Amino acid sequence: MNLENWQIQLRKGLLDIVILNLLQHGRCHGYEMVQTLKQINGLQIREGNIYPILARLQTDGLVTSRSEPSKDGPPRKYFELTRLGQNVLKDMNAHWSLIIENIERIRKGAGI
Amino acid sequence: MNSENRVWDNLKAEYLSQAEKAIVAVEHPRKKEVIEDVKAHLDRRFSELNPEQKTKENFQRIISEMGPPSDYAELLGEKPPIPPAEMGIWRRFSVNAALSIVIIAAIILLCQILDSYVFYRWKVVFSSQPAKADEFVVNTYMTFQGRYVDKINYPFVNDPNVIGSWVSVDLVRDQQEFVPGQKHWRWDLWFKGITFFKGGTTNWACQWKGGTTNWVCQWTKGLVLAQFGERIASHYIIKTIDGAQYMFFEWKSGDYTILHRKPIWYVLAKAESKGLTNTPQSLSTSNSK
Repeated sequence: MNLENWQIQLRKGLLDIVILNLLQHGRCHGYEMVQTLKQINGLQIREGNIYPILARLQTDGLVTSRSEPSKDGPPRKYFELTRLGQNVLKDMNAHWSLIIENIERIRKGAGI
Repeated sequence: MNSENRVWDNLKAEYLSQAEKAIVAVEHPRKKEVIEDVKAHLDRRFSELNPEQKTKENFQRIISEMGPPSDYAELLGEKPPIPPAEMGIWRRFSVNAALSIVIIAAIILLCQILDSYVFYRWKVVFSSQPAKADEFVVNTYMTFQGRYVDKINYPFVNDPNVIGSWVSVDLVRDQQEFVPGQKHWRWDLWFKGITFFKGGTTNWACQWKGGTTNWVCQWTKGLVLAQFGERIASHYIIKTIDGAQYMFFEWKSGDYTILHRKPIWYVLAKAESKGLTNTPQSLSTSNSK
């Protein structure tokens, strides 16, 4: 098994929930999100990857965006969670907790 | 613009071009937006570099940190369709061959239909006169394939004399050849008989080694109207010979429709009058082919 490949796939699979969780603390622009994620060990993403994910989340109605002027450069595009996004995120987080919990049980050798 | 900026612009343009190519086949409403966001991100990264950091190595590192352009298509959530160029040559060949066969079959079928149902009407070959004045003249046409077809849409005119079952007793080239009690045809008669029902339907019975087959056709006074692939209008003529009624039934086989030979005649006797029992099997059953 190629461990690096598995890590990349896992990271890609988790990007939706990671980005939505970043946005639940307030609006954010793409560049800022990338810089935050780069600080988190194990979640370092390729910088360009965030934009297609944000586009998909917008199309799904979970995220909305708005461009605002910036003092130090061109206008910045801010992303924020919609009401639907907040509800979906609650379900996603609950499911994520369940997975983590059960994986831990398996790791410890307990039955599910 | 200094040389570093040109290097950066070239690298950026090349990366954006590759990203655009990667998502060109992806159906997503925001794909242009993604490219604009990526471009803004690159501009931001470049603007954060100090003059001494503006080196080709740093530019390439920034581009590298963006990730491969192929990621954009994958992360937009849709698999791009397989472009035709990447489709296997045999698969393309199979698809094209199947389409060609369907088109050719459709053209052949259309030609057959047009030839049989439309074009032939323009070419009347001859008209055969009926035995009696109150019967119908039969018009014969030729298709482009050179086959005879007869007009078969005649109105129904009743003929009380023909109602009932008739059983084949002989086969002759000319009606004059028939002599009651003497079988002119030495072999088995393929056409076993025919039953005329009131109202204009008939039931043919033909027999060969495999069994008996019955066909349902129409009749009107002096004619049996059949459509066995070809449309045939066969005259029937009832004659009284030596006190018994015989029917001379015009037999239009492929010899007539394809080879254009003169029709031959089956001779049939009224089943009831001759006390014959081998009447067409389906007299009292369904009339199926």
